[in-house]
Amino acid sequence: MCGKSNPAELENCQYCQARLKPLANKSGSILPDWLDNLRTKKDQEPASPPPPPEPEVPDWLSRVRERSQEDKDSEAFSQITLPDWLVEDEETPPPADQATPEPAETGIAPEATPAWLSEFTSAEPVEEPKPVDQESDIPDWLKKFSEFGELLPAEQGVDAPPPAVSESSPFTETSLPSDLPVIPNNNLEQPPADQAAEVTELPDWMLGLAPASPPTPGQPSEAPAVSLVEPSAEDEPLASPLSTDLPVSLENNAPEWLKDFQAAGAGQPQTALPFAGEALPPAEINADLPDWLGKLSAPPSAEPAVSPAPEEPAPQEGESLIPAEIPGWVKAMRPIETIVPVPKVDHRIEERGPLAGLKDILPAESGALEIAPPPSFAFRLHTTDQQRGRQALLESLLASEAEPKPREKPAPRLDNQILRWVIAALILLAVIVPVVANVSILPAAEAYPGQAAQALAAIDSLTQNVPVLVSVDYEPGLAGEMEAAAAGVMNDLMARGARLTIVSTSPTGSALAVRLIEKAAGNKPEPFHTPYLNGERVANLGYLPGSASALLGFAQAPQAAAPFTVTGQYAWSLPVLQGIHSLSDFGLVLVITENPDTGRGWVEQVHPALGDRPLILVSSAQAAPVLLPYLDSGQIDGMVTGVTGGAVFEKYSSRPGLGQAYAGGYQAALAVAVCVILVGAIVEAITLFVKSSKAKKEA
Amino acid sequence: MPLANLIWTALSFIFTLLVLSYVFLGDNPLFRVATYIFVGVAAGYTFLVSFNQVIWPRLIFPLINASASPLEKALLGAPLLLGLLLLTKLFPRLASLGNISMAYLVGVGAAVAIGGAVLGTLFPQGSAAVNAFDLHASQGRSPSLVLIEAVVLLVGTAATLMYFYFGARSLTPGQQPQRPQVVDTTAQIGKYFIAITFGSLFAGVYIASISALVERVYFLWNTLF
Repeated sequence: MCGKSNPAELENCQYCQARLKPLANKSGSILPDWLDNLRTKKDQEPASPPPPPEPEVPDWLSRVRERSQEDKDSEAFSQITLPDWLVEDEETPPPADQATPEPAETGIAPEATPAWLSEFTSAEPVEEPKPVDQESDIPDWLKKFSEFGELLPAEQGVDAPPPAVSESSPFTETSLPSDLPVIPNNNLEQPPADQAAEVTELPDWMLGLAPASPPTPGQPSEAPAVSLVEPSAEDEPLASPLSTDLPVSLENNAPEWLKDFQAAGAGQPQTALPFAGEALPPAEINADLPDWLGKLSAPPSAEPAVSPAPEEPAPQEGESLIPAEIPGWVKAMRPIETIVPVPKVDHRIEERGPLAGLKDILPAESGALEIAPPPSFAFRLHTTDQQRGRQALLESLLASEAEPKPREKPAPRLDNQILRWVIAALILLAVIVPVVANVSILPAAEAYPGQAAQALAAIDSLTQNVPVLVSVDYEPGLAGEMEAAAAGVMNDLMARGARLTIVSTSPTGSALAVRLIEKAAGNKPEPFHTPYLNGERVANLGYLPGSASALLGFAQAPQAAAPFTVTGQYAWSLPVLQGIHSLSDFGLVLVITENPDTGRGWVEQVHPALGDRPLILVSSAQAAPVLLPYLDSGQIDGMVTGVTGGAVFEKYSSRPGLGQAYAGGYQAALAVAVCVILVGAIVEAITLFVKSSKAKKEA
Repeated sequence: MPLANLIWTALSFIFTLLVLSYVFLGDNPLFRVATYIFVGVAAGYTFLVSFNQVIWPRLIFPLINASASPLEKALLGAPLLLGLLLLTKLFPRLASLGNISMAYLVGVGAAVAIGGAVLGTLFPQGSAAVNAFDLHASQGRSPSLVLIEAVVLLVGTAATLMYFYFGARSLTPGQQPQRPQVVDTTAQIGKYFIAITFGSLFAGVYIASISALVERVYFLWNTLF
């Protein structure tokens, strides 16, 4: 199929995989097995004359004869006028020179041949049929055939007008444009010359069926012989079914009616099949013609190219022929098209394009070219009720996670509420009574005496008008304790005429420093308090942002770290900071803080820059345990802790202040707290003891 | 009393009562009003102080001041840029730009803290702990008392540190891992020292609260009478 050369030993093409060697049977012959077997049997049989075949008349012929005898009296039969050639042929005996072909030429075993075929090959002459009465013995189909012969264009002549065309003809559409070329039907495949030569090698009986000579140009070509098998040298060429040339063997033993038919058509040119060559007039098919003849005369467009005859043509009304049973071997010879259902052909007429009006053509515009929006599919998830229920449950769980859980407030217990009120009342009473009565229930505590003494000693070492750096780094919430602790120290510094420089690492430190000075001055300020109250001897440097980093920067370059005061003045030109260039120029550094980290930062960052200058811490009772090691290590020179420390310092400095004022209530409240804790611990211990005893007794 | 002082005094009195209402009434709307106002006033005051004492006089004014030298203005470019980048932390999409400023702050703070802790706390405190056993430096105090204090200090320090040692191992195969017996015993002692420390811290918180209460009662009494 691809046309490429392949080695001889290959059975399939190595390029296109087409079969190179034809399929052969066991004996290697290309003929079907049944035909090959017949041939072999024929070869194996001795050359003896075959037994005479049984004279067997086909059923259809016998039925025809019977009916013809029955219709002798029919008027329709008497009215039929037969042509001369048909009448003469009936009277003409068959030529005697026509001998029956020998069975050896046919190559078919006598036992396997059907009756009608064996009739052609037998040596004995076939029983001549009875002469047919001109009017009564001629079958209807034959009459119709004779009438049909009158309709052939060859008989009518070249100038005969073409008959009317049926509507079903595709080539007779009136809407066809006139400029379309007329495609003659004589372009059918012509058997090649080698096949024509092979045709001459076929048996005699088959030769008569094939055209005598290959068609010549200009002449209407004949339809190719439809050969179901490849013709062999021994087979006679197949002839067209309507060919009037009978094979030699058939001519010798043909019945008279067939011979008459042959004689009538002898003078006629070999015409091709009705569906070959020029377009045959397809329209008016005589209704009296048999079906098989009518189909042969039908236009070729109505049927496929190789349209097989139906296996059992439906007998029409008035048809005398009875459909015969086709033998199996004939069925085997049927073309594949008879087995495979022929696809129905869409005989639609094209309506658009240049081929409008034509039938049986490929559609010019296929449906695939039609641009249409894609179909929209409803995407719907099919879920069951159970799945939907689970979905709702999951959604509710997820929604509940985002919602805050309702906080259930426990019902307040009355005993706890009462106990709470009682304790609060006791503490308030313990605080109010000393403040109102201005008495001290308990003697003043001597807590942290060494610490306060060291602080006082450090302050006492200062001279007059010494610059003191004060860091106010406590929160407003603890201002009560811190003011009580630092008021005495501030009061003592103010009494010594120190130049106070206020700085803070807290935004609220500058405001608390002013309040501290006012608290230190008390309700009845002394004259030495006046310069501090009006800010003459106070330089408030404000807020130092950055915590430990700010302290380090301030310790290294105080003028760059805090150049201005809270009022916007350049601080280092003020009289308060006159002669101060570094922290070592200060006489004392006082850090007032309740935060242990702040105190630690001052100790870690600033103390190295102070040199031998004292550093005093005023801390709350809460931060004292954390900052006390620095006092023990000598990194700070004094420490005043809480209200008690302030009271002790005020006692040592002999300047009463807030510390001593708050000490009474402070000690009373502490006493009440200690008593409540002790009572509660005792009660709890007794309760546990009782419970354990009961548990042991029960156990 | 000046009017301003009168107003501030009155407000202080009222807010003090509002806060003290928590003692008898618990969490009530009066107490919440006082706390909310305190939080708001504190935040606003902090912003004003920061802007008035830091941003304006040290950043904005020098940039717009014509008398400032170009060098001063150029040096202010770095803190200005870092400050603006830090503001991008407010916007999630631009928060990554503020990482530069945060890195600078964290780096400088860590360096300062580490240096101060090592030089200002670790070495001096270690030296002080050693010097605690110096009986000659008791400064008039009984040497035995000084020694006891030193021993208690040493045992307490070691025991407290040992309490936070959680390394354990199994001496025999199949045995549950546990701390060595010496470590476990010392940790038990350190547990008591830690408990005493927590008690002192709680006492300090209570004392601070009592001090605040005393101060407020003293203020109310002086205001009324």
